[in-house]
Amino acid sequence: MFTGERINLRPLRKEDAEFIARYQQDADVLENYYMSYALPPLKEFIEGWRNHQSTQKEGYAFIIENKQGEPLGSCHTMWMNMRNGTTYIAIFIGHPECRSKGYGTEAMKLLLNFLFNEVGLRKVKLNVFSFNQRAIRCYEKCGFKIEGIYKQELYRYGRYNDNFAMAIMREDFNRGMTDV
Amino acid sequence: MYKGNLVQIRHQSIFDMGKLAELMCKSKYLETHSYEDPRFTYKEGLEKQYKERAEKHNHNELHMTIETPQGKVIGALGIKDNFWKNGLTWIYSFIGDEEYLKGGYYEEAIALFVEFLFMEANFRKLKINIQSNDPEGLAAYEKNGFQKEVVFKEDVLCHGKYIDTYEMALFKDDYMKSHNN
Repeated sequence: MFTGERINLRPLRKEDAEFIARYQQDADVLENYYMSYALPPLKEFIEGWRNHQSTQKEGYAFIIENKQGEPLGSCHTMWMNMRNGTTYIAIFIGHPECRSKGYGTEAMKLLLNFLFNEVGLRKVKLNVFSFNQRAIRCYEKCGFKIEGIYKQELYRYGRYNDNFAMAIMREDFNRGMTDV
Repeated sequence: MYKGNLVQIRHQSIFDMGKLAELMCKSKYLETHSYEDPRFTYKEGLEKQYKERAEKHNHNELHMTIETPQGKVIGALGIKDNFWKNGLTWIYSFIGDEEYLKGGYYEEAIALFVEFLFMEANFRKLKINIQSNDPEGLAAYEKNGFQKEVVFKEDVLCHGKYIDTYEMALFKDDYMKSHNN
């Protein structure tokens, strides 16, 4: 368990599947999170997700919970490459009333601290759609910088939208943590 | 089969896998495609893996062989991840026989494949990840109109140093404009 001021990160459990599936199918999460809308129905999504988690050989997944132990969202690694010391990450806050309150930023800093200073990675990367300004602000606050822009990458809202490639290096994160 | 002056590209056959596995075990390939996970397998293991892939035949993937007009296999290319909704696909490619890395073979193979992906498969945008220590690969894509969209700083380990990788892309609109002129 990683403890922050207002939230904790705890390892994902099998029984979290329903929470994850319910919120990942929420329209707001979905349109900011997925390149495709073609998700399976909820029941199949939960089953598929459970099977996927139980066969995952590497990577980390956490539930973001408040101090009362209620799940607010989730964050996890993808395509971790230990040789190069890199990974992609993804994060979402599920409860609409919990968004834009700094929970995501706090969770992200806990996750980065774990990945850089426990797992020993050098670089953490993520992609974020250009219209997801709330998330971009959160990532910038955590020290992520834009490495490039995938132009006209995602068809949504009747047009092609850009996708930002962002990254943070371990030394920049640790410097930022000391500065704070 | 798509034919050029120097090379032709055709669908991979199960009989190509031995040669392709051999080319993929060469140090040049391993150095320039090291964004892949470490591959602790021997040539025969790789060959078996690719034969199994060919037998399963995923309709969302396409794997082709690059060969000379005389039928000598010198490399491969294909697409592995498609987002049909967004009109995107990710290309992979390599010339494994170093003798053919220069001289326009790579460039022509990419040109033939790009033509197929835009004119037949109807993709809107093609993407490729190239390492900065692969000047031949970089040149082949640049000459075909690909442009860098992202520079991933210090992204992969090569000979003890972290080197950059490039995400490059080509839009069908730009390709059509340059070919109509």
